[in-house]
Amino acid sequence: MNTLNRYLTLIFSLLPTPLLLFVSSASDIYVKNQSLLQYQYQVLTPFAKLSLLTLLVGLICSALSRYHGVFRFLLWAYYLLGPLFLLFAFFRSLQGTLPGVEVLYTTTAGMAFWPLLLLVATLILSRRALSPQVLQAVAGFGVILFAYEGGVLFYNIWTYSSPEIPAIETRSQTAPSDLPNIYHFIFDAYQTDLLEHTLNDEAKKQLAGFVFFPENKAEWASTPMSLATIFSGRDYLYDRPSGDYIAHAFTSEASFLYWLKSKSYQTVAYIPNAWSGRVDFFDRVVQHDDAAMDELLLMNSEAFWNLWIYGNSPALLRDTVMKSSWFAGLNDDDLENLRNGRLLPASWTVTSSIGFQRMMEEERDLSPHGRYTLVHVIIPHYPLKLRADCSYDVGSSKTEAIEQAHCAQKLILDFTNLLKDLGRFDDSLILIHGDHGGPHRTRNGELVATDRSRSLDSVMLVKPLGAPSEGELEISDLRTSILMIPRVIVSSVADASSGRSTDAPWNRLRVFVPPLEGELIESAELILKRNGFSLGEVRRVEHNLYAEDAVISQEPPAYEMDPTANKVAVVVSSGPPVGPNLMPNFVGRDVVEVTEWLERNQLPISSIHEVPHAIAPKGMVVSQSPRAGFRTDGDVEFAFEVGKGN
Amino acid sequence: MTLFVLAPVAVISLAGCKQVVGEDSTLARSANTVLLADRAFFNVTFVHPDIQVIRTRYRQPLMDYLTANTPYVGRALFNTGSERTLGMLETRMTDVADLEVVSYFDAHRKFGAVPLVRPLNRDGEPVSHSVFVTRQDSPLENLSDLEGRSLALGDFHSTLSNLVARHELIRAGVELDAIGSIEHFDNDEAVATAVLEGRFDAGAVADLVAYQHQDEGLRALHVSDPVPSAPWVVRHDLPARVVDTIREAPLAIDFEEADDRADWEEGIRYGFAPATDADYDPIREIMKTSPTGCEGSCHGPIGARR
Repeated sequence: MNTLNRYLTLIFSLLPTPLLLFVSSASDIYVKNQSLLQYQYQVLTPFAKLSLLTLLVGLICSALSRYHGVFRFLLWAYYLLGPLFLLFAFFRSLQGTLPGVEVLYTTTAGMAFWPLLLLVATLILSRRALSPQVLQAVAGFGVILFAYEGGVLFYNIWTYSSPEIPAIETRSQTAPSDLPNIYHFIFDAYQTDLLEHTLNDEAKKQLAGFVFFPENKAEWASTPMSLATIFSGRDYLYDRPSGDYIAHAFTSEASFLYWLKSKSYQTVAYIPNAWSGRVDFFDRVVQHDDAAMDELLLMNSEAFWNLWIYGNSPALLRDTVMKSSWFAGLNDDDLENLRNGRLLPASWTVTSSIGFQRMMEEERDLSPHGRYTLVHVIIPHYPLKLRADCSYDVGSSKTEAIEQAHCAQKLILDFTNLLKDLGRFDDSLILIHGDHGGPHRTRNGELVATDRSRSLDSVMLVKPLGAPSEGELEISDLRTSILMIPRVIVSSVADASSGRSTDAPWNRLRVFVPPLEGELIESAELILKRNGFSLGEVRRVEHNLYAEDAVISQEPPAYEMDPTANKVAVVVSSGPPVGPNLMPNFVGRDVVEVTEWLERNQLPISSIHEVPHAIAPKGMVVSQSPRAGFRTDGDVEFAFEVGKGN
Repeated sequence: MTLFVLAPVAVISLAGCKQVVGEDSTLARSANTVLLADRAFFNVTFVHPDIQVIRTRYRQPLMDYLTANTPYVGRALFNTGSERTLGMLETRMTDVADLEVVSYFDAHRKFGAVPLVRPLNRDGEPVSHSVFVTRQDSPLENLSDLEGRSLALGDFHSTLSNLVARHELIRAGVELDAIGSIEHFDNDEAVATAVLEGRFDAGAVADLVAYQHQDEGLRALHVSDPVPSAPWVVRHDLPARVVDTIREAPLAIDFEEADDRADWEEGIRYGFAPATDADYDPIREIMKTSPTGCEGSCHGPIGARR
């Protein structure tokens, strides 16, 4: 037992150095960046290997130290290296707060201090062998450190994992055969100028059957808001929090996804991770990252390695060394990210491209009918990683916006050619568009990046149902908006079902009655007008749960196809009832008004809590219960939360 | 053996010490609870020369006021340049923008932006002045003394520290060529600093900036005729209900109670007046007579840009 104890003591005494050098430093960075690294803890593997290698070196030095003074020196250096590294990191964290510390990290003399300190300390201490007491103390520290670092990593790896969206297998056998396939591609930040700069005669021929709308506009430059306008076909009117508006666009009856589901469409989405919470109406969801885990690991490992080196190297030569092609080969953008504490793996565009290609591989085996396929790729959006042929470097690299635009066009052409090969092109509806533009402008025929915000000019390409691949790309001068997308989809499917040959789907009006529930009356009127209807009778009723002027119900009902009437009657809320024994709305008001009202009405205060709040100043009511318009008599608890102030 | 006992104890006791902390827990809320977070936001973007050192607290009281007096939550955003702010307004990254008049003209021309309100000054009037400043100990007495001297002007997009300032020089009969040197700075603060530090004999700034530095050694050399103060601007397609609400709330700020708003930023604490496009016709007239001949977008480069 004594022998075992001695060996264990030795091993644990040797642990602090590799743990401090590689595990502790890497663990901190991993925990801070794990979501960006898609929780791929395998990026730590090289550090585990380095730790084991270092431990092996320590064991060799320890075994040989009794035979030669050099090894005793090396063993002492080994033991001191870990604490010195800790000291190095500690004083570096004090830069900016402790005067003079910068000198140790930014000057040649300062940098020479650290190895000199190690050398001198080792020379002094290595004159004697390590005493058993010191060894035991170091081993005790090793145990604690091992337990701590192991515990932290274990906890974080065990607790945090990539959020999983349940995947439902596509039921290819049951896809309704009378419904055409719909392919809906959203290319993030695909500004019209980018497509115009990559469209050559050959591409125009390959895009025969499509109509290009160069005058198309997005409604918002923010992706979540823009996507919400696309899926709901309606604009935001500030009648609810923008988060609710976004959720409503994907998970309510207002979403055209709801309508597709009601028609028995199979709905499949190939999307980035950011879609979480918006996929209720999809039968199957494939996240690009999930489709590209192997490629991601390579990129994440490279990014993580760079981050670790940057975080643990002296500033003196760091940027120069990391920019050099023989080392990391980072560019200025990468270094800027590193200075801000993060080096994003810059993988959005790459995983999007890989996800797109995986989607194409699956397409061959899926049904030629009854499917709605949504593909959202972060291309040609920043970061600029993809070359014109969609290839990329695992490590640091930066391409040009125009190259990434070429890649976007390549993906489009590849897919249309695939559909042609499969004989599915003519009978499918294909929508390809951007969600907003980028910061580009065309000046004197040249594409230039500007300091301006994003543009709203977004690509819009539509391949109508039944349009064959003949001639070349048609260019329309119609001024369109991405708000037209639900109308194009619904009218195309309606035409296919009825067998009618009609106008182009973007010109069709009154195809279906749009859902209005929850919309403010002005919004409802606008939605009706946009779809070729007008507002009919408006009846008002008091309602506790619907805001004033919000539509409660409608006639004809939502999604009635080809209605005969062109007017839609609505019942609108006139807001919560007001009067004695009814709760007023205090949210946003000063708490003094609450106490005065309670006193005036001789009502008891159940609770008023001060809470920290990002928006509200001290004393502003941030929540109330009951809601406005609810009865205050009977057994009611009055609870308020009030801003604590910043 | 001790080690075998120690290790798991340490693991259990230390695991999770570095765990990533999640969101603060919130009180359980029933469907019967209504929250401030249930409201829509609207963003008001201000141009500020350096958002790294910006202090939002002087504008936050106005946002709190708007939150308390509208069904929305007001939020102040900041941007370093009028051009970017204009872009944010165009692409709906902000709902309201506090723009220079010249930038407003750009926004109006490019995407039909409309003025909403304009702030009152300390006299309760919705006007501003361009002020030529010099050091207290300067021998300069009027604009004609600037001949052969150095003059600092504001950004090319600036109404008060460039456009109106140039107009005042012309009115005073001072040829621009007769001034020793003219240099443009990115913002009025930089102009004031350049004059205070003696790098320039005089500079043109907005009246608010001139007031702020009068105790630091600057004095007014010349004050322009009043021009309409710079507007808060919205997109023309912002819903009418929102526009009306956001306009009415600042208009209700009582000028007479300005002393009670000592913690508000000087440019907004006196209240607001309604603004229309026609209010800015006098500045359009100035632009027409500008030697750069600009109409609608006056950014003619004269002198070196710092």
